[in-house]
Amino acid sequence: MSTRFYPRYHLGNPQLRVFLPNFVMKLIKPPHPQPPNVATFIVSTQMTKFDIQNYLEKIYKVPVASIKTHIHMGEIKRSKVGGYLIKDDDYKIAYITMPKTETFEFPDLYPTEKEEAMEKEMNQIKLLQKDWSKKIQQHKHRPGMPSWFGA
Amino acid sequence: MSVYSGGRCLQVLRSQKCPTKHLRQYNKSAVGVSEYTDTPQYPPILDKSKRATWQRRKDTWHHNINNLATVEQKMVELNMPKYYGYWSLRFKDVQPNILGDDFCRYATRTHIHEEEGGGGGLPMGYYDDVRPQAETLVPLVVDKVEQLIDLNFSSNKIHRGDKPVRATRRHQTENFLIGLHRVIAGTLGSVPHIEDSMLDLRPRVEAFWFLGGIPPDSMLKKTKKNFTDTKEYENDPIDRPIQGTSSPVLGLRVTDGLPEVVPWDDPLATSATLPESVLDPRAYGYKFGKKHATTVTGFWPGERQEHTQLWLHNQDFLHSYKLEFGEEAARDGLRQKMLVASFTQALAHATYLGFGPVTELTYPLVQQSAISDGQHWNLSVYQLNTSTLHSHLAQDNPRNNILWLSEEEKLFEAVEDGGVKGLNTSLLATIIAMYLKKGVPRENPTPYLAPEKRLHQHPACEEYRENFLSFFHDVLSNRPRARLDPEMYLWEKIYKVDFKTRPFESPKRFFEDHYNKMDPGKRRLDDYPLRYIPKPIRKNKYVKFRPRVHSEHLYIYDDHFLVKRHYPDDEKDKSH
Repeated sequence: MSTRFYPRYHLGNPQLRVFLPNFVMKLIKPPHPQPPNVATFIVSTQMTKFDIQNYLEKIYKVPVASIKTHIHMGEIKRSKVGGYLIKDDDYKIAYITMPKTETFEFPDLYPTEKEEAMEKEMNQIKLLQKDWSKKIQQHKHRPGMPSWFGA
Repeated sequence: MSVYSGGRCLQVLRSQKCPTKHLRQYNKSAVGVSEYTDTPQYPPILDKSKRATWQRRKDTWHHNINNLATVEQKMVELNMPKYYGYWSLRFKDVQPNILGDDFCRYATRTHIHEEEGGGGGLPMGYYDDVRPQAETLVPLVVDKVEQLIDLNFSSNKIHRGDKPVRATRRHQTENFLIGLHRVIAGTLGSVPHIEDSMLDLRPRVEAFWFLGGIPPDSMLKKTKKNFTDTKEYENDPIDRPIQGTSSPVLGLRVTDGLPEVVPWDDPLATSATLPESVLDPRAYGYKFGKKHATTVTGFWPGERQEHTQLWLHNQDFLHSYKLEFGEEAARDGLRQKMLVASFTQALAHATYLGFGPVTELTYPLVQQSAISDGQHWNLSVYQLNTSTLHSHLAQDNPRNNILWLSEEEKLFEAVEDGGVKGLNTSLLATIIAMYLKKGVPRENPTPYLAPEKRLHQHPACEEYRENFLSFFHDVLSNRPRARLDPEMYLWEKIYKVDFKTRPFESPKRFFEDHYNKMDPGKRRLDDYPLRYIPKPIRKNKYVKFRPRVHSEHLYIYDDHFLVKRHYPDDEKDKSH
């Protein structure tokens, strides 16, 4: 339940209890559509299913029926500097199934209408920038000349 | 066995394969065929859009399968598009999923009918005709059943530790169920359909079908999104192959199928409430795997007893399911198990009667099942009304299937030194009624099979029939291939496919650009190198290779071996 070293267990030792886990679970939008009672998290690759269940039930009081985890390979891409291949870190993704009475839907953070409106604004700004750079060309060889003179 | 048995096969198959070519070369008639008719005979106007073309291709394939004469040929044709097997959903009855309720009902198009009280969930009135007779037979059976329970469940007679280990518990239940069957079937020995029946112990029962209306996953969407022709079909629902498995303890087979519970115009069979849409099955926890389309029922085609009277199942899987998900989830797990098992059993029977995943039923098939751990019993009746669930039929089908599941009942309360306490004679009567329910002979039981129904009636020669049958058995055997499927390793995907970092390496692998580039997913079952016939044992010196497997003609010679050289003269080569 933590990235710190655990004390080695010998027969007769007390049950290990971690009161301040330093793991963080990130709630994400599921990469593929899920049933309504499933929530998706990115967790530390060191966390086990038991860790995830205890984390949610003891700290956040979220009932958990079942957990499925898998380690997703990080994206491989070309470096912008040298053109060689670099790989992002692997991450563990957990699909938590809650009892049917609980539902969760990840909020739509980027609704399509707003995205389209923003894109439109950006395009308009780009057009204005293009016009401005054309206008500058008129007085390229006359530095300091005010722009409100004609042509 | 001879390598090449006879020009007789060659003659028959050549004329069957390319009759017009044969006629063109050898049969030039002096009288021409009339080209004129009274009214213009226009060909049908076809929709040339991609969606319609794909659907037409599918329909043609389905039509070809429907027209094949025997079950073996149909199964081989169903497997023909995929040499390495279909990427199919593993739909096992003993592995229910906590999220799987809706998907199970959608995938089998089944409405679950659970009634409170009365017959305990079983269809009211279905057993009325046999119930009185069953109740008179119960006293004959009670003593033997009590003895059997005492033998199997009394704690001082079974040799094991305090806690039952899983295998012991499973064997105990199976022994009890087989023993119970022997007791009941022995008592009912004079009943004609029981006397004539066959028993399958732990048969392998699997069924294959296509399920439509499934949303495509992100990789499939990418393949369509980047091309102008297919961009608009990016979100079209697709068909997924499903491989269902049922694992009964025993099945009792009889000649005639059980009568229908409800007719096809009943609202229960036409307009029951079902889930309208589903997500990708992997979201519910199911997994895919590569496997040939396997449909087996515990007997091969040609058996006289083609319908099952009763299936008995083991409740052993529920133990670990309850440990993981709690007692409340037990009923859901049981429901999923009976649904998947019953549908698989019914569809497997339907396929062996000539219907199947692409051939619609003409009459309903009814299955009776019971699931138990010896003490706790659940009885069920399943009516299969539709077997085709591909394309739009998963959602738009005029009919749906029905499952009746009873409440849980105990056969006995406890076993003590004195004997068995609280034997439930009413449950015993219901089980005997299930045995007594008589089947109904149908007038046209196999409309999609040839009247003889057997492969040995096929006109091809004996060697072809034998080889085709063993080929069919190999495909459905679940045996792993000796040579592994071609696989692209992860390093190759990174350094050769996604990022080309090895420009001067010669392209030798199967996925690389060269003359022999192959896509394993597109390789057909008949796409294999043919075996060479050595010159001394050839009957015809120009036919160098054996024929290739073919679903209609069983085996057929490749065209170019016959066309490039001249046809052997039938009159001259009388040595064969």
